[in-house]
Amino acid sequence: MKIWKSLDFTLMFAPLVLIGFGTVMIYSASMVDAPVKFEVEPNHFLLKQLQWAVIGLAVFLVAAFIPYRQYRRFVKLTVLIMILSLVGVFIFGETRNNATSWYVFGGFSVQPAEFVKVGLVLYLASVYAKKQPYIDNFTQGVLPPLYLTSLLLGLIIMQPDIGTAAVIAMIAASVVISSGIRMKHVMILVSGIVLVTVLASQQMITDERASRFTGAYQPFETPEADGYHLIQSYIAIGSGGLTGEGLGQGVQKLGYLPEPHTDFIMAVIAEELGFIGVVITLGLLALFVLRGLYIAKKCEDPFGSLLAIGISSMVAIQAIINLGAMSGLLPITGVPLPFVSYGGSALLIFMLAAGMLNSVARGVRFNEEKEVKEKEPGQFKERTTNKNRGVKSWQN
Amino acid sequence: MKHRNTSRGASLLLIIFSIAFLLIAGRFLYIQTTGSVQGVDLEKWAEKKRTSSYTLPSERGEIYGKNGMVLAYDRPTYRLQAIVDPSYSENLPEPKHVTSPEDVGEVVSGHLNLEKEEVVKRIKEAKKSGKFQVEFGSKGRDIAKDDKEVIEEALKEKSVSGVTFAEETERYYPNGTFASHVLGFAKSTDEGVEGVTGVEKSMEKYLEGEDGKISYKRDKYGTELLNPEEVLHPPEDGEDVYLTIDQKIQTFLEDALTEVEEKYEPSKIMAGVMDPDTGEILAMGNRPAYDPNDRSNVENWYNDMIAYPFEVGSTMKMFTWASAMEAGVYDGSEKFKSGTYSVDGSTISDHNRTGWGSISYDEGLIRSSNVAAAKLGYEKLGPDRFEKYISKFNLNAKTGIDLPGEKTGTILNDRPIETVTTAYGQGSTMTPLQLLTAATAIANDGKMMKPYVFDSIREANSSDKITENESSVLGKPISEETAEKMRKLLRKVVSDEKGTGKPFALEDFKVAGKTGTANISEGGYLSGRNNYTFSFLGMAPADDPELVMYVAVRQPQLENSEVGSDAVSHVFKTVMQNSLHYLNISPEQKEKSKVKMMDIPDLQGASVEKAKTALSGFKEVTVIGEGARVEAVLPESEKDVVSSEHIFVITGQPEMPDMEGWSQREAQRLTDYFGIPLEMKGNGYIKEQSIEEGSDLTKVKQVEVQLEPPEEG
Repeated sequence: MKIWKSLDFTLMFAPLVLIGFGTVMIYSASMVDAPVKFEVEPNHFLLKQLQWAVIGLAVFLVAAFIPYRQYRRFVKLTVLIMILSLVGVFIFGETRNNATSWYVFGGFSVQPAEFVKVGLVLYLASVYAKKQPYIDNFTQGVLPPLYLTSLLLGLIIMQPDIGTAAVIAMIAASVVISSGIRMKHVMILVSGIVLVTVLASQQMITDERASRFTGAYQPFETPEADGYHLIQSYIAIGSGGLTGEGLGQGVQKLGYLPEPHTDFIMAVIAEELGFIGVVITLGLLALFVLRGLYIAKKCEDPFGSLLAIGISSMVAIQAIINLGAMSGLLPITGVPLPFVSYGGSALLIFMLAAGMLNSVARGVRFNEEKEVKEKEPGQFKERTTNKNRGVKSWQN
Repeated sequence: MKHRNTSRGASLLLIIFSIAFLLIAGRFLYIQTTGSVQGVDLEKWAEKKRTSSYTLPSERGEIYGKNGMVLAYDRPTYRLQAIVDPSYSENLPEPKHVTSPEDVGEVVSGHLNLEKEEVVKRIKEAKKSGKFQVEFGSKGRDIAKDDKEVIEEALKEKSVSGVTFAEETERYYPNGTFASHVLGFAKSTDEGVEGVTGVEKSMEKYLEGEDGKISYKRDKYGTELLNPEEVLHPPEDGEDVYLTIDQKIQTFLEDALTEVEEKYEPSKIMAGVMDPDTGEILAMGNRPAYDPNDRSNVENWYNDMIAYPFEVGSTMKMFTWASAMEAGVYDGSEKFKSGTYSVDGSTISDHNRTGWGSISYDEGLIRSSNVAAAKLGYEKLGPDRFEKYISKFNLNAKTGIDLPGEKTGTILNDRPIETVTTAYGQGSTMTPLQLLTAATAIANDGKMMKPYVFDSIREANSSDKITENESSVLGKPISEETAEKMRKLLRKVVSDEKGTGKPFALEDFKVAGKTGTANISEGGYLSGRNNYTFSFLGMAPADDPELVMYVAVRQPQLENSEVGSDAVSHVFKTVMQNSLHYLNISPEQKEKSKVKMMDIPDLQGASVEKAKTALSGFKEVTVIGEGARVEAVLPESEKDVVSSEHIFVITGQPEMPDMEGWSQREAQRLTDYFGIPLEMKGNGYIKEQSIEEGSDLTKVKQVEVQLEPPEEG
């Protein structure tokens, strides 16, 4: 039992509550759509998400109990998998919504780009940790990892999945900024990115993508077209009020919201549970992110610290993009809400990430206790035992 | 040491993410507390989008004839549609869109007037342009329910997918061209069927139903919400309207009008039948008419019977005489000098220009003397009293019939000449309905009945009368005695040897009435023998009239052998005779001079005397020449010759006969036999001939004859 105590309470509690809560909301959101729109049993999505939650929990625990330093062993393998899976998707993948981004195995579909989110964080954390001694050197310290990063982003843009590429770019940027890079170099990178974006935007801004922006900022001008989805989200949020219409009582999920159990799950939460539900969900997500960043600050090992920063940023950025889209602050790009939205592969990646973050947290705790023990030996007998247990399990 | 770098980055991100989370929370809070975004009230917006309302269509009332025969009703028609969008069939076991345009074309073209190629082309074009569905123009519309069911069956049999039918409501008139100006028509609009003319318009407030409405809140899939806040207003069907139009009599009338229209191609025909005891309009029709089911080719929308005031001619004399009688200034045996009459420097004349010498006023009406009318109107009655009677007969005002669009004419009575011409029906104008209505006073012992076509309003599909129209007396212009005296005199117009109304006599019933041959004024009066409005205003049986009828035929295309009254009398006689029989009015007389069909025996070579005896059954036999033996008998046909036929017995020494009074046909028949060209001037009957009586016919090169119209008014 004591092994559980070695886990970080917040970093375990927040995802598990979000998943449990999310599963309930997925059932509420999909119970009508399932038979009417998808012609499956009303609890179809609930059961599938529960399956994934169980698998995800296992992944979480395994990831949490592997000492985080061990992850560095997998960096080369991870890089290989990322490149192969992104290249392979063009050959073996399935096209949905005009983007060739999916592998389909039996009944399951997996996006390799989802894996890249966490894989790239691992790679960048590992490389920048190694380069800490000469991080001030732009060409040798900062630039080399960005070649692979650019390659991966390029492959994803080719699918084309601009939304996911943007999310991954932002996650990568969070790690890069935190790598100890000099401000001067940040400026160079930012100008480079701006330049590339401006050049590429000529081709990347299609009518459809442009319409997402008009949809986000002037939805009522095109209520039956570009603005439709956002208006439906607004209506859901607005009719929820402070306390909501009651669990299961929402109307917007009945065909009005485009994907109530996936990307638009927050709209359903807002309608049925009101601002209270919003605050709880947002609070848990923020708790996870802030705790992760706190761990990153505490972690003296650059690899652990950057890993924690990357994972926290990944959750934060996805949450912000999803919720920003729901509330009309950002354009709608089809990013699911971490831990809450329906979707197996995404859930699995987030659980893996959460597990890894927990592992970093354990490492930090272990070091703290070691320091404490060194300063005031004898006062923490329990902890010492704990530490020993920890070391033991560490070695296992 | 180096971890300070990462710590600094983590702090930066911590701040950025915290701000972002707070912004999002604030945004949610704003939307959830104000319930609005960009000034749009989200609740109202949602309400609007979630509320479904459907119109529950009501049925328009039906129109029935007097005997309960339906004259107009709503019926569903169908419009052919083909769904071409494949996404309509997504996730469905059976396709619901067109999978094979050829199969659709094959089946549809077999049942509708549509080419297979056309159907296939339209479907393929629609598919190419990404349309959801396609229709097939006018040929794919107005499909009857039976046809639709047959097509559906055929489609099912060959499992052809994607063809649907959209239902529409159409006003249908089962009898086609049948009292169309009375019924009018109703057209389909977006708001349902709406009356445009005739009864359909005047009875709109009864016929029109009130559509119901249902509204409820629903989800995007159309399913009612648990709390649907349903609002239901059930539809109210329109009421049924029963008309006084008698299906049978109207049919007699329509048939007769169509026959006359085809034969004489007149510019207008107006006819109406009225029950003089009640004022009910039993039949009313005009030509040109239209089929209310197909309004693509309508020549005349107006109901001329009630909306076309014109100079009616001598039928007006009926009321001039009745007024004089009622005023006590009339003495039927009093004589006057016929021919011409002058007042204030203007001169009018009788229709034969010369008159008939000194005749009685009774004979004046029988012969339709304009001079008599002038004397009665201007001298005996005087303009003021005459106008008072015109007003009593309602000839200067609308009758108030319950049909839309009634008009009244203009009575000219300011100058003496106007009084004079009005007395015989020229100058002043009035509608046929005004005449018909005024005649009910004479037919109905002095009581003039208000005409009406709407009998009762009944609740839809029930016999419960909501409103019932009642007969009302429009006025009492003359006494019972005057009415009776008038009927006797009018009877003579038809029955007297000298009567202008002789062609209107019925076999089985006594007719009383007055003829009219009115000049048509278009700037000046038109000339030419066709350019008259020939009319008859009559009633039967004369002693106690059951029906009053008016017929006017304007500008019939008459052949030489025909006269204007032929067209009028055909309508009057068939309708009146058939209607009286149909109404079970017991026949009161057998026409004495009943026309029989007879054979002409072969008389060639027989003696003239013998021939005369053999042909004595014929009304008129003329021996041509002084020869003793019969050369030929005209007409040459031997069987089934009408007994009223004029027979010529040609002798060996043919001589020119006196042809005065002969018809053109008779003269033509004789000259044709001898191969002599015949030149005719004028129209009517022969007045003068260029070859003297007694000339040797075998030597005559050419004959010219001068014709004059018969004596009719």
